[in-house]
Amino acid sequence: MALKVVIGLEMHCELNTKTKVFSKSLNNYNDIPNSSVTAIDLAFPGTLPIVNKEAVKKAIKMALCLNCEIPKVLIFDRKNYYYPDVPKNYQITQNTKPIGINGKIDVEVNNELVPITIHDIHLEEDTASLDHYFDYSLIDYNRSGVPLLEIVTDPCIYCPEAAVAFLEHLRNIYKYTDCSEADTKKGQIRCDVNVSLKEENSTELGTKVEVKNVNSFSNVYAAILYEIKRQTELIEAGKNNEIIQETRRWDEESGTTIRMREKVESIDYKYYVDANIPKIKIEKEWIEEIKSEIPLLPLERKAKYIKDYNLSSYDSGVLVKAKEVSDYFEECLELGINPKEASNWITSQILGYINKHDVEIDDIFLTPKRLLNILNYLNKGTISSKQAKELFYLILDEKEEPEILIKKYGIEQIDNDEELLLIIQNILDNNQNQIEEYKAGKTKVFDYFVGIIMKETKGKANPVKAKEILLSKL
Amino acid sequence: MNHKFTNEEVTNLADKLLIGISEEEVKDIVEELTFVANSMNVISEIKEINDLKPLTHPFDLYETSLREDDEYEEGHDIEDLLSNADFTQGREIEVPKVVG
Repeated sequence: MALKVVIGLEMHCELNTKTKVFSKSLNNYNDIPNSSVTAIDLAFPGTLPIVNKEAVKKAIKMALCLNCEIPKVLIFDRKNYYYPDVPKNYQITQNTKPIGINGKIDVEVNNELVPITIHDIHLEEDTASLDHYFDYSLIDYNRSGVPLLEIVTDPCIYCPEAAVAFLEHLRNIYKYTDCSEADTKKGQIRCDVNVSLKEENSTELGTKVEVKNVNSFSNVYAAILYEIKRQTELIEAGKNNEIIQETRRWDEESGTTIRMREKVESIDYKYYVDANIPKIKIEKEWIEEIKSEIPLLPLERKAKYIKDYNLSSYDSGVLVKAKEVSDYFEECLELGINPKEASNWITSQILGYINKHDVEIDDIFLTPKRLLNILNYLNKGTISSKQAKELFYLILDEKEEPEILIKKYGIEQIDNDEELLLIIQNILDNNQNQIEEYKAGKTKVFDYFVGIIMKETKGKANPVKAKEILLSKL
Repeated sequence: MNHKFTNEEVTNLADKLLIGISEEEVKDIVEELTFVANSMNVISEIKEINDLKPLTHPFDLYETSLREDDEYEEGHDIEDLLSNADFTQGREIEVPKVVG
């Protein structure tokens, strides 16, 4: 029996506003514990939440990017549960009228566009962070009330690669639109993954297993693979009834998922509308204004690079994969660097360097302006392409201006005809036998001479001129 | 609605809500819920109540504006905050270990 995996995702991402979603506390939860906490965050009696406009704006922007329908009125609900991470004993979220519904977006998986449908997007408050020790837990309320956007897909993803491609694409959109830093390393993104298996041609979905709080995309991939394997083995052994609707968690250490609780015994959150927050009309004009602020998104930029700059689909894809890299490329173009040349330097040299040294492109000393300097020296013939690469690494490592390094290391091309002639004549005088061989038809000797010229000049000879002179002298 | 709450029902509800309650508390809660149920019965007697939309906001004004994201408020004094908790450690509040 052929089985097909069906995946649904819930991605939570913190928005990068200045203040929290319902209070004026600063949204900088990575600060020292309990330093950004006010009465509203702790739900002190008599306090009332007031909705942050910027958080709503960013939520709408994301909903628009995912082609969702936006409701006419903003309504928040209470999700009731008892756990120390919510001091109110409920979390303010959206259940009745989420900020976006019925969305759709295409993502690229192995060079093919795969449609992903969005069930809904809702704006909510993040909860306090808990650190668990042997027999106690510590609570830091800095994260309480940080605006959190949850994007929920339909069960419409059919392989782990598409799931990860979708998450990466979403992370990119968050960054391109400046709605979030979307940094998994800082815990800004958390995912819940729903996995079920069904018979290949069946229209009925299998029993859904939810893996909660997966904190990196590689773990999302691993958790899906693990669930496919676990559920397949149970089905093949005729133990279908052992796949139950339940919540599991990903255990990174063992590379497995572990049961948390069965869904049948799940908590009833008793959602109801939060009457403390008035209903707020979302004006059409405001939605249009937000729409007009959306910049070109990754796939649109990619299409532009292919069409306008004649770059390959592969290189364009590499350039748009991270917004910072794409921005760096565009800054190069603004400085007048040839697109192909900029793309080559970025995709090979610069990305190679930042990946090797695990640094961000924004943090390296080699800014687009300094790259332009190198290219100017190269195109004027002051330095050779080999020297350009040497200069490139020196700038990155020594964090000095190109002109200083050129002087310091004597990186300059020998471009002067007379100087080159003298060097070449001297080499020829000392290699009479090879000249005879060349004249006898052994043309490979030409490359031998070029090699010697480069060796003698420590790679500084202008190769084009050196070859011309050499040819005329032979 | 003529529902009579039982001890088992309340214990089961507490389990689902992940809270532990004593037998004494179960008894109190049954009494309280019975009172609530009786009050609901009074409301249920209103004619055609099922046809009414639940009221969440007294007025459909929608005129409230959103808060601009510019002004911020300094965090509350830490000593003051921690004085609300029975147990603290450093700048944080200590609770029994709960992994849910």
